[in-house]
Amino acid sequence: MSILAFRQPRERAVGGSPVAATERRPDGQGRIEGRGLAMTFAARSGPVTALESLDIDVRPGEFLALLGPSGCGKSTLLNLIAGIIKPTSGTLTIDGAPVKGPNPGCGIVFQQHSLFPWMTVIENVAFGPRMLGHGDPLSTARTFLSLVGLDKHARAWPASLSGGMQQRVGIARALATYPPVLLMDEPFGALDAQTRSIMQEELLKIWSQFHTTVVFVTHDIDEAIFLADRVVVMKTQPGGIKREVRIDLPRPRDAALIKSELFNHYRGEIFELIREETLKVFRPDNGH
Amino acid sequence: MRFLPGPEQIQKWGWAIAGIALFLGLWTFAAFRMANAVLLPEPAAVVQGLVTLLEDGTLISDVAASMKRVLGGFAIAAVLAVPLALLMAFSRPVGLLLSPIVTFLRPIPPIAWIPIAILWFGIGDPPSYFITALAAFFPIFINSYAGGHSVRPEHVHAARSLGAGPRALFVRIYLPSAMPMIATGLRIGLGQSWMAVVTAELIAAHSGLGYMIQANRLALETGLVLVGMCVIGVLGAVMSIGLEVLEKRVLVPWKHP
Ligand SMILES: Nc1ncnc2c1ncn2[C@@H]1O[C@H](COP(=O)(O)OP(=O)(O)O)[C@@H](O)[C@H]1O
Ligand SMILES: [Mg+2]
Repeated sequence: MSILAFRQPRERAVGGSPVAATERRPDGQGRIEGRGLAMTFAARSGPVTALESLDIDVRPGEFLALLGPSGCGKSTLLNLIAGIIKPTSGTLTIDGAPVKGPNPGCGIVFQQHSLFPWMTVIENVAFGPRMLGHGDPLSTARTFLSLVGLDKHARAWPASLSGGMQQRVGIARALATYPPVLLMDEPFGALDAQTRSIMQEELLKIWSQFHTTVVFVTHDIDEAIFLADRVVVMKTQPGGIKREVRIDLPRPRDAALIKSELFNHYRGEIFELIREETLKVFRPDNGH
Repeated sequence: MRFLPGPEQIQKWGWAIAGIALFLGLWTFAAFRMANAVLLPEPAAVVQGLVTLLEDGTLISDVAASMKRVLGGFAIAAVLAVPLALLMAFSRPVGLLLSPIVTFLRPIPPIAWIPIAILWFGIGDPPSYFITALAAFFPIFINSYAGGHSVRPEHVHAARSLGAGPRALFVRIYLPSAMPMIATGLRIGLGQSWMAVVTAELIAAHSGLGYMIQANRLALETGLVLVGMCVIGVLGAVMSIGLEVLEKRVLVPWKHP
């Protein structure tokens, strides 16, 4: 009983939810466990250790932000979870199963330009349901397009949409297969500040209707705090986890939250952590 | 939506027509100054010749002969070059095996193949098909090969994370990624093939536009030679435009919304 109660959506759906079928995705999935993860790339100038002995656990349904200066291995970690690259050592499982390669258990939203330009918007979103043999991919696609407010643009080519709209299509496409895990690599990084702030609110609204585990990469402190249940601050040289910060801000969250005292407190704390890491990049020799 | 030409369109056409008029004017002037119809007949005489050749039906049959050779050779080249190029792009062993051969064969111009084509195939259609196919093959091949390498990793990762298997990846991701380059290759290949047919017919055939201008040169019918040349130019342009329309409407519509 209590377990069922815990798995209720944490936010009330805003407005009439167009997704009546979200219950299709079974609860309690989307647990990520990584142990002793290391990743060394063979670059032209010699091996580059992007990550070293990293442990990570993400609870089912948790919203986790990976935060850190660029080059600290955020994308590398995300690509490991996605199965895009294989760790040099360590183990990685999702719901107990080792990650072998990109698969429908993990939806991915990239920073930009990942929509298939040769498919219309609706065909992009219908692609996953089609591949997985779900019934009526087009109507599923339509449902998810209206979820991100783009049903009017169903027949457009992706290139004719603004950057923000393209990212919304990318989110709809990733969600349309009901993945237990959603991985997002700086999905709003290429957007202007206004659009970005609105997209963050929209993402939380959408997330509240699913029980999806989210791993969200960003280098924006406010974005990480605003979105996440937990912020993992990463360190550089070599890449790894520096500190984790639980974000006990109430949900549902809206943009006004950014002015609150608690938010400010988190911002100050995380700012100091990141600053240390960023300075290390500038003064590599006085490492502490 | 745009059925009526806009001001921009009218301006474009205006310049085009002015350009053609200028060309015809210079030609008439030069012919008048030269005053030698064997060296350079004036445009009016060429139009006269065109009418004659249309009336006796020989122009149509020459055009048909050349067209058949070009389209046939082009089709053969496309059917061979596109799959081979994609196979080479996607399979490392095949790529390593075949790329030296391609590198070595590519610089040989189609015209250098004509003697061997005659030895192998005699005179007429077969050597001409061989030459037109050869001329179209390399542009189609080279561009398709580059196209095969132009897939974005994000697209592959996204597709796999959405459940695409190897077949779907090829048909729905790799092929469309390569399509813009394939279309470019087809366009260049058709042009090369058209140029090659004239060359081939100058030497290795007894019909077609190349043969026709060669025969009329020997007869000192310069006007008819120019008719042949103009028809070659116009048909080449028409085919190129036709393929461009195909490209925009069918092959890569997303690049031309
Ligand atoms: N494919 C690769 N080959 C070589 N080095 C790489 C590769 N991918 C990432 N790196 C290196 O690994 C480190 C971490 O990169 P990345 O994970 O992209 O960082 P972030 O996403 O935090 O900016 C960087 O030093 C980067 O240069
Ligand atoms: Mg990155």
